[in-house]
Amino acid sequence: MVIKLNELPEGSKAIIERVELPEGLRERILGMGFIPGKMVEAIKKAPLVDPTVYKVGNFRVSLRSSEASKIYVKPIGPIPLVLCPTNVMCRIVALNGGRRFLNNLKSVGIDVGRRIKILNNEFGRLSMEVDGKVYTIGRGMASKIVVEVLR
Amino acid sequence: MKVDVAICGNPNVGKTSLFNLLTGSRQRVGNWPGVTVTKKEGYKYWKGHEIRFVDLPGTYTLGARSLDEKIARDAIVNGDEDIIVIISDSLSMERGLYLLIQVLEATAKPVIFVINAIDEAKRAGIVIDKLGLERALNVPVVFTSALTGEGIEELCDKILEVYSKPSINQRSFILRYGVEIEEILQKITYRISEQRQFSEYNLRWLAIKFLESDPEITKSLSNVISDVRIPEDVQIEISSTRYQLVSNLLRNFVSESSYDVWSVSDAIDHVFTHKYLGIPIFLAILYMIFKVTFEIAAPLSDLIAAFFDWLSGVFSRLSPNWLASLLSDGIIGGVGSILTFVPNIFILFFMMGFLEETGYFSRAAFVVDRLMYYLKISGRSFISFILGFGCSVPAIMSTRVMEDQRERLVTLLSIPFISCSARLPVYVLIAGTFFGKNAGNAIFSVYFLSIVVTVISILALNKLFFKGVPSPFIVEMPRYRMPTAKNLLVYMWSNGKHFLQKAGTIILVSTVVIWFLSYFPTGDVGNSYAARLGKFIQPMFKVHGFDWRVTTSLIFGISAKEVVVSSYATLVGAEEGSPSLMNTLRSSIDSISAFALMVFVMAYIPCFATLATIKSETGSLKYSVLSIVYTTVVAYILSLIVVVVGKALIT
Repeated sequence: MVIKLNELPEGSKAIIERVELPEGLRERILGMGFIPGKMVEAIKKAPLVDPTVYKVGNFRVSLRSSEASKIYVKPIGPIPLVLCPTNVMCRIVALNGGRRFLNNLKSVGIDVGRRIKILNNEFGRLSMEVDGKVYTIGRGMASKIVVEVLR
Repeated sequence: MKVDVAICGNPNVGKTSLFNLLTGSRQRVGNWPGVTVTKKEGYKYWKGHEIRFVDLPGTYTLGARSLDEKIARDAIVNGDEDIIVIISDSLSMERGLYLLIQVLEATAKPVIFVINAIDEAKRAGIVIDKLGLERALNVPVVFTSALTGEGIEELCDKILEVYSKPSINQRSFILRYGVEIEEILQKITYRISEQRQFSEYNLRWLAIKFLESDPEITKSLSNVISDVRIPEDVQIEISSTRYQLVSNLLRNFVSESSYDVWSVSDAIDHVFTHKYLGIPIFLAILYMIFKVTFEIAAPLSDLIAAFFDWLSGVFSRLSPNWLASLLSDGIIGGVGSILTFVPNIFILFFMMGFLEETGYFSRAAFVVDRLMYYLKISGRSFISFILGFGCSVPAIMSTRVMEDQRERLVTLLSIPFISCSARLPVYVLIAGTFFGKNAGNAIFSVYFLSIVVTVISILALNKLFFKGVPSPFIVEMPRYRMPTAKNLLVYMWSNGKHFLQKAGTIILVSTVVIWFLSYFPTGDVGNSYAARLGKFIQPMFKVHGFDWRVTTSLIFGISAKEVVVSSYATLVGAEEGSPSLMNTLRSSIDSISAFALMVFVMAYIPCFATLATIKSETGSLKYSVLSIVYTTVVAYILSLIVVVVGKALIT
């Protein structure tokens, strides 16, 4: 499962897959160590959300999302449900958000440890299957459900 | 014996600190020929020999995609330097080794690999196998610390040793790139070897650069090699192979650190780039810089000004009259006006040095980058623009820390539109005379307009001159470091000296020229060449409603904006600030013209000091001339709009 580097949540790690920047920038980025196969970590977003500091090797670089979105990575470990591709079996590892939201999820049986699969993720809505039942939620909610992909 | 050494390294590895330590104050700051990039040279006498150092711009690759990279590469490949010193940070040797490999591929010149900040590596428990590295790379390795001064002597010894014993330079370093790429490289090398014009270059390096689709080399080789098929992703393959070698070297010769060397930096960053605290802290630091640069320096500047006033008073009693006037008004006035900048500039550079050396500058840019995003410049320029409210001269000099030369030029040419403090007396006089209770609002609207014009100027210059050039913000966040006092003093001195030498002469000459224009032919300002010039251009400002005294004052204002008021006073024969001055002003122009005059003063020709700084910073008179024309056209059009719109609103 491959996402854009700018979508990688703060604190998450990923393996670099491809660098699709224009030639001039690509050489610089490669020279800084953003090389396919290497690990990258999103350290911190700026107070105004963009840019983000990434760690590559023992080196920290700030990239705007306009550049980071041209670098494709494969996340290691849990990611928000909203970034998950469709029809991939995942397991919920954490639920973020307020108490009411958590209670709502739990009341319909969505909880840590459950297996979850996205059926459709379009137009800001996301339908998913949990234990054979289908639910539809918004992208905001889906970003608070953290999952790991099952192989 | 004289040895020329080029110092090359990644940005933020303490390259400049090491350079300062090596050369002390024996430095010369200038420009690389034909470009705006600062060139630093320095000397060291060591054991009876002279070692000349040139500090190349920091770079990660020899790709020559940016001006900095191009300069560094040209110096390495074509430069006259005898020895190249590559400086690497002991805690991020990955990038240092990556650069070293590229340099070894590019040149057959002797190379010395310096691992700097060795004190930090020791503290982190990192053990580096020096001999092992030397053998694996066939390159001498020296450990240094710019903080403790360790290894400086060893480096100088090594430079002399390498220079005098060419036998130890006979290194053979060839990195193999895998069968497929090697085959293509061979094919290309063979083709190039048939062409005589490339005989002085390292052919293998040309071939590698061709595969990396280096714009310059691709251009010069494209007709020689047109039928060689370059596989996709060959760039990535080449970079990966280099990094593969780097990680092998690191694995074999460098031990892991015993603790996280980033823990302190991360803790500081947690506060300084905090979601909510980051921006207030940045603003507080900005406020502090502004305060210190202009307020702490103010009494010192006043003292210098008072001294020169006194001195010019002494000389004004001389005879003949013209000589007294030349000495007191022209030369002493000129020298005085240069020296009043000294406290500002030295204090500013002391603080800029502190922010840069500690590593906060990158954070400042990071924190406000989003604001500047739409202007296609980065957060770094923000600080320069804010300083511009105080004085354009230090603001323009502060652009020196920008890495991107395109951004630096746009910033540098737009700073004069930021309303500096010298323009305030002009606004106060005019607004006080014409707008009574609304004077504050009038001044505020001029300041507001100045920001709007600056923003438009940034956008327009970006569009006009730098069409299609991407403006990425790729900035390294270095570890926080404590700068040494010596380093800060050298930083302050070498940058301040640059202003005195380069801008000082121009300011002095132009003050004397202005004096000449105001004194001759009769010794009376009203009949001087300047007044004639004022009368000559007055028809252009007829629509604006400016009389010849206003236009003449504007000419004098080119020497310094606050002079507009005093020269107007002289021309009408009244004391500055007296009611008769206000009365004359009121009778000569109406309130719409008055506001137009404020707007004109806000935007028109930056003062001589600023023009001189633009010239010394860009190394070319072209940009000063451009600035004169550009600001005057903008000022003329803006004030014209004010008059036209103002009149339309009233009728």
